[in-house]
Amino acid sequence: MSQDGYNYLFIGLSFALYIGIAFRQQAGSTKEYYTAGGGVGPFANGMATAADWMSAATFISMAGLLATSGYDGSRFLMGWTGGFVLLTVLMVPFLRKFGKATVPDFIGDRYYSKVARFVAVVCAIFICLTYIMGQMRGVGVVFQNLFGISISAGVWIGGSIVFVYAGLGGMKGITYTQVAQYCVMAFAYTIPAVFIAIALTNNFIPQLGFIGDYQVDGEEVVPFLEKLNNVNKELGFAEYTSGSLSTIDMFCITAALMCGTAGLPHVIVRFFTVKNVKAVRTSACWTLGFIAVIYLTAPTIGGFARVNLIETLHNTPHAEAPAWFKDFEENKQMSWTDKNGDGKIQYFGPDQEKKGNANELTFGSDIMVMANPHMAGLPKWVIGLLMAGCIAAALSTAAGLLLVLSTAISHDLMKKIIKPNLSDREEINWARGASFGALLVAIYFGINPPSEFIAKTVAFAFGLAASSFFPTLLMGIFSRRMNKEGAIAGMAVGILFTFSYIVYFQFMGGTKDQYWFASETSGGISPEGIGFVGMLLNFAVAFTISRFTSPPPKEVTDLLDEVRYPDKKGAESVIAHH
Amino acid sequence: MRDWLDANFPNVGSAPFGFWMAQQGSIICFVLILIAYAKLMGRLDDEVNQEGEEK
Repeated sequence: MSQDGYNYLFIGLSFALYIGIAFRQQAGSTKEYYTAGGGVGPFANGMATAADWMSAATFISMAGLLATSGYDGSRFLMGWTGGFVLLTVLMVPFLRKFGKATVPDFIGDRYYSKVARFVAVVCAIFICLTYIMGQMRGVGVVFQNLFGISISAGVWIGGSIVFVYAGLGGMKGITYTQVAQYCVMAFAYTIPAVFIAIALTNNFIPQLGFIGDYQVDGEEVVPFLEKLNNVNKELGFAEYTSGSLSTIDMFCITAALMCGTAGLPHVIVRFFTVKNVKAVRTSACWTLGFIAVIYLTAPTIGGFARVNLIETLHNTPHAEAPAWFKDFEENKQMSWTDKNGDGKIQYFGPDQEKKGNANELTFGSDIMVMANPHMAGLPKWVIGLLMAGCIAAALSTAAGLLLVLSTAISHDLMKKIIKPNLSDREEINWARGASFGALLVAIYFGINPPSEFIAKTVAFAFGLAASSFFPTLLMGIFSRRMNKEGAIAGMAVGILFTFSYIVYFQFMGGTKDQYWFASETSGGISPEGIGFVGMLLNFAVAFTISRFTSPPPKEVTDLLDEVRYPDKKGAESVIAHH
Repeated sequence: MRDWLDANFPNVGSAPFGFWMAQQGSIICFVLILIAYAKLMGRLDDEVNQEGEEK
């Protein structure tokens, strides 16, 4: 069977599976639409959360970023997984116990205020839209590679499929689809890594091969990372294992990603679908375990891909370049200009360019994962599987986000603020309508993305979440003195500050030396890391204002005490008793 | 921090310790933290539950 055949087969099969599941699991009531009825097992929920949370950025972009930026790329690894720990320890068990279906719902009740709820809805919409753009872009990139259609057509196809099963099926529909998607992703990610590890290091566990020796027939055996450093240095790049970002920027980005993860509404709501608080914790363990499977593999793929790329392309005559290179050239993912006219491809970094050796090869780091199996010459079905995995990653996250968007609008905006007597059926219809509208916006930005790399776009979403939800939720749970005035002001200041910093540097031509804390010797805080500063601002503003205004009413503090005290009755939601 | 880790701890395989920590070790630690957390909190819940019944 040809490559296209395999691609169609795997992607067709996986789509049929997702839609099939969604049809069997259609949501009938709002409870099913928002939280799948609240009876999902911890193991299944763990898988679904892992899929929800691992986005196209993780799947497609991260290994590529690691490959091109080496140590600097670790910020994504640590930020995203570390955030998950914060999320589990500080947030979800308490929120689950509070017993609300959505994040703005919690904020609205905790801060006894419609304004707070409204601000939360606006924040949720901003975060989700930014995030979903990255996903749509990812789908577009995959489709373009696969079938040679334009990115925009790919984005449209992906968008319609998400709408079919997320918009219509609600949480109930996406939970089981995400379980299936996780399985597809895990296989798609690890199998190529295993093959490549065997080829390059003669070790079938990629993580061991990564720290082991580079063993290829006819070449001397050296430790793999040393090989990587040598190759990088030879071509004039920085050493793979040393970083180039300033420490303050690295710290801010990692911190923003961590806190952002802990404030991501679509991940938080996933934990409302399990039975009780104990199940939330078990489920979180499973989730991080499943995530670790992929996250521990990503750096190895990055390293392997880098060596492979350079070994196969550098100093190779263009006429003899492998067929996949021409495919990538055709759809403009890689480009080659013969600057010194010798007909060979030369790939050089900044240090060599200073010596007058021009770099002739350019490519976006997003394609690294997709190009990887081609470079290693893996069997065709592996590539087909990988493509299905990429799409699963993007779709599962997009679906989760879409759900948060639609419930924020239908439940929190329509039912709780504008039209309190909305019936159950009408509410679901509003949710479906809202997801349709949100998707159109996301598709638009997927076609015209605000940043060239998927992972970067997504990092902005995390910054926004870190600066708005994280402090508000945290103080909502742990500070009895925090009142509505403080929370509203904090959220508004945090998100506006972060948003304007990002917009200024991303769209209005701000330059790098204008970054905050930038100095002659080291760079300042990039827009990716500014969420951390926004978060500190949020904390400070909320704290100050709450001290000068009246304390929250007694019902709220009583409720908080109950939420924070260990469970007495097998953890039913507290709200039920009130 | 990173350099200090590189200099003062043994390499993991062929990887400098700081680099390995950043790309692999930290994630493994995070998983262990969560498992410990779930176990401890579960135990706490159980204790409180038993006290409640005895009263």
